Amino acid sequence: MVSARCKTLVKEELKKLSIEYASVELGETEILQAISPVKRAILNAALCAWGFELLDDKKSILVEKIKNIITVLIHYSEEPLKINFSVYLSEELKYNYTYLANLFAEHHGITIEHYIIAHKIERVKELLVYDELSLTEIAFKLHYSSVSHLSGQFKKVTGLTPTHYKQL
Amino acid sequence: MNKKQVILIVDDDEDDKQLFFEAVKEVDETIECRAASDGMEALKMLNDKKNSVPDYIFLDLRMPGIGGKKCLLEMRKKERLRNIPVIVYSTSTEIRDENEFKEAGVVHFISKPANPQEIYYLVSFVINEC
Repeated sequence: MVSARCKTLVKEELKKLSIEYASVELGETEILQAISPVKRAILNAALCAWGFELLDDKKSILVEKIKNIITVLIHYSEEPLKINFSVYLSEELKYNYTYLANLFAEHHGITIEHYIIAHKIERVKELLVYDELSLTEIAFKLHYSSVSHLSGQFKKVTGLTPTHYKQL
Repeated sequence: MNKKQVILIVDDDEDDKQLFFEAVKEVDETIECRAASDGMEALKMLNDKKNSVPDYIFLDLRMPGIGGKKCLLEMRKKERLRNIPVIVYSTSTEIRDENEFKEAGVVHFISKPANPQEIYYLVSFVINEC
């Protein structure tokens, strides 16, 4: 699982620099002592080499948490949400959805909904390439209300129909 | 065969209404779009039993006369309108307590984006989710 590998990489980098930590989660690490600016810069460089980024302002961290929740939902969750996404996100992060949505759009330049759809389409592309499921099964797996809705979003995001994409 | 879906858009701004119409048609051209320019007109349309109950309502909060919140609360008093999923356009300052809106059946909150592309993604997300 990619998320487990990410956490392992972060733990390894922390160990190399003898930084003790209480927890390493997706998007959030709690360290047990203050670190010097030099050590911080070294850690940042090491994490950057793995494609990570060290964030410390609260809003950036919150945006990162939103992205992590979306990644887990789309890539690792089999069950559909039992509540609406807006309710789920605000309950998970303890902020109003409106605040989170505005913050995300401000930081990211696109809406949360656009980000979710773009990620879902990436997942659809993966599943099409694996060639194990039909489009109907993919629509069901990713909790689309209909195949035509999936196809419409796919065309909008990629410019291609799913069938055309699969033939490439 | 599935019944044709109906969306009611309640917004006093003609340009915004047009953008939503276009986005809905891009998401699914079979969806029937109805429009009202304020809360009063929306309630009149919704209370008219000749009209079928819409599948979703996109409701602007800031409108002259009967605004979005009042319209929502009035709607929820009626048995046949109580369960329609409502998506409100809002800014964080207009909504101080989201729970109050959730209790009144609001399923999603959106900030009206200026970019028509973003409206497509909002509408597409909401229609798929609700």
